[in-house]
Amino acid sequence: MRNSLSILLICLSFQLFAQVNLFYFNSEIPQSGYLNPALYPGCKLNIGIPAINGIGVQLAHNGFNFNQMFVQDSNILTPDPENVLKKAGRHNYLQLLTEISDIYVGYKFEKLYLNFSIRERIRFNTFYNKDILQLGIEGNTPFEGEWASMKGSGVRLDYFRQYSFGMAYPVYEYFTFGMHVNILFGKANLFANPKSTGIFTDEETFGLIFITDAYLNSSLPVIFDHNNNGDLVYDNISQSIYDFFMNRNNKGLSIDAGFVYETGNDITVYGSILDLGFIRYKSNTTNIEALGEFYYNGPTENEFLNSNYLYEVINALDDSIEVSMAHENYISLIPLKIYLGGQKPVTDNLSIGSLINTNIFRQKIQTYIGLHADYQLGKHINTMMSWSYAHRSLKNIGLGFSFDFRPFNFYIASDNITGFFISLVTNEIILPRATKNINLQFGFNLKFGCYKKEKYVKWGCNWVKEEKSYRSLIK
Amino acid sequence: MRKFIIFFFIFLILIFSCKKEENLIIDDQVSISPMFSVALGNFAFDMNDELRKLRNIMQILPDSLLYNDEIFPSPVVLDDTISYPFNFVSISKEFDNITLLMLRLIFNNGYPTDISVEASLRDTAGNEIYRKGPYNISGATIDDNYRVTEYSKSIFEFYFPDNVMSDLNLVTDIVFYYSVTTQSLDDILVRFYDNYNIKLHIGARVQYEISP
Repeated sequence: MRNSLSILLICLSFQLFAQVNLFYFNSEIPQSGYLNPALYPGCKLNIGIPAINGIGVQLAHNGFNFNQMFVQDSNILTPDPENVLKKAGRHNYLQLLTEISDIYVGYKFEKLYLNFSIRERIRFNTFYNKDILQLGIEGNTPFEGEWASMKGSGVRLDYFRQYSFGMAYPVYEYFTFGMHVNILFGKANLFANPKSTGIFTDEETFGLIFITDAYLNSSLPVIFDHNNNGDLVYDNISQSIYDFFMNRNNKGLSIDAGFVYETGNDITVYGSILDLGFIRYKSNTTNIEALGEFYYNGPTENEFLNSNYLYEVINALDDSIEVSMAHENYISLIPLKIYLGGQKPVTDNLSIGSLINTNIFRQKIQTYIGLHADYQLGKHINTMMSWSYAHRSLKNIGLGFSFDFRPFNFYIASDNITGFFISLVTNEIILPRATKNINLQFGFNLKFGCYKKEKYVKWGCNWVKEEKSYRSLIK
Repeated sequence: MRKFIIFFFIFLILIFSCKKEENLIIDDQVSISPMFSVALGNFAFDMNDELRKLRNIMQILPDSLLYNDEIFPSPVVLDDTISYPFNFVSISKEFDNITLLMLRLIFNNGYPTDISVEASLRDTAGNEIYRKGPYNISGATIDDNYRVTEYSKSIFEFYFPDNVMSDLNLVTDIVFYYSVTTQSLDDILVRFYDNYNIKLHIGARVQYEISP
């Protein structure tokens, strides 16, 4: 039990970190290759300082922000459930992400850039739709004659270690292609999907129809089972913390691919597809399936409210659900990410661009649409800014810096600093109160073999120094 | 470099200036009031016992009714009282938290004539706490042979007044008073049969105040 708790606590302590989109066009940060494998760093040898070369933070909730949950009067915060319901979207999620880049090494052999990285990737998502929220706050009366469905809801936890072998190569003078082949080792996984579970309230009789069609797969330091009474129980696995983190039984494979394409009219197009793959979970697995259909139209014939009314309702519902359990291996698909963007230089130091990012979950498609600007501030500092629509909010102003004092490189960026900013101007005190997304990433790198003359041309194939583009170098 | 310094410090100011703290208190007196629509039960009953008493009436009148094809004098009114357990304790012991209660009575009348119904909530001693009605339920549809072909549906709703809400914890039974008229409005010969009945379904909307 103590081991399981320790592992859980360690996992939770990680869940404050993740990759930001602000780096997408910035090939001077080696870890931006995690977003687009075709990005080509300007230096010959790039080494990420172990464990601190890429630490990312993300806590996002697209439903409502902290401010919208309360009405403030002086220093009293009064919860405002009606406003919560009003602000929530049809499909909502709470997302906690951690990505820690343990190791990053990249080396340029002639034109071929090879890289290797090890990353810890942890993601926790809770999906819920508005029906569930409304059912909890307003009851089932608003659903008379309608289904209150759990469709699009669920819980997902992924923790896996990713060993990534990557390359980037300028196939043509105007086209660079890159890809990663990733070997994955799953450490923990939970996927609960209520599928078509829901409740229908008859508009005339108020009779209730319950339909349950749900399943859960897990590979955790605990294993679920039935006891002699048929109740669901869990047992802790006697697994040390070391065994948990070094578990290699859950193998998987994924690929990332990307391109950078110079169109010839100063616009460079970027695109990538990430995490196309799966993990086959084999250790400590539990598979639970619940199926049932139940129509409740009141107590049995010729009886009204008796002293066992609620007990009978719950008991009848419970009896109607058939739960089956197994401990079979299962495959978990990694949520796919797709990026497409374009960038154009405005001046020698400034480029602007736009980026669309889609993360595809079974329950929900997350969309990010951002306008980006990269500004080279002197020889050593690159600034990145963005304004984006993400998590159903336009209040996302990104800001980031990359400091290059060769061979040292330090970068820090956030896709959203408006939470801080809005807190400041409205004199609010809790940092994330006015925002739906907290996001931060930073890291330290060592870069060698860089060009000494630092007239940056940061956009396009910006690994070429002193030349305005890779195309002109080839010519 | 100068630009950088200025820029960097603005950034730092933005980050750190928001870390001032106040003593914010989250009000724990908040509550939500969800409303639930629930089915409380079904019941079916007939008037056969009352109809059988017609045999004691000897005088045959011009307007008569037929019960199982035997002719009986009409008009008469058949009254009946039926009581069911109706215990709100089964829903909640915290009656103060029930802020609104509505009962929906759905009658499906299988008799060819109108029925009048009153509902009464009573305590264990039989004292009436609340009475609602009478409600008139129209007769069922009949065919050319004067036989019922389709139930007649009537739906009635009533919300409990505040003074009754405070006594909900005392309610143990619901009593229905029925009056079946044996004369049709059209003065046609009315036929009753043993298989006729009245179906009643009760639903409720309950608003419940929940405090965390």
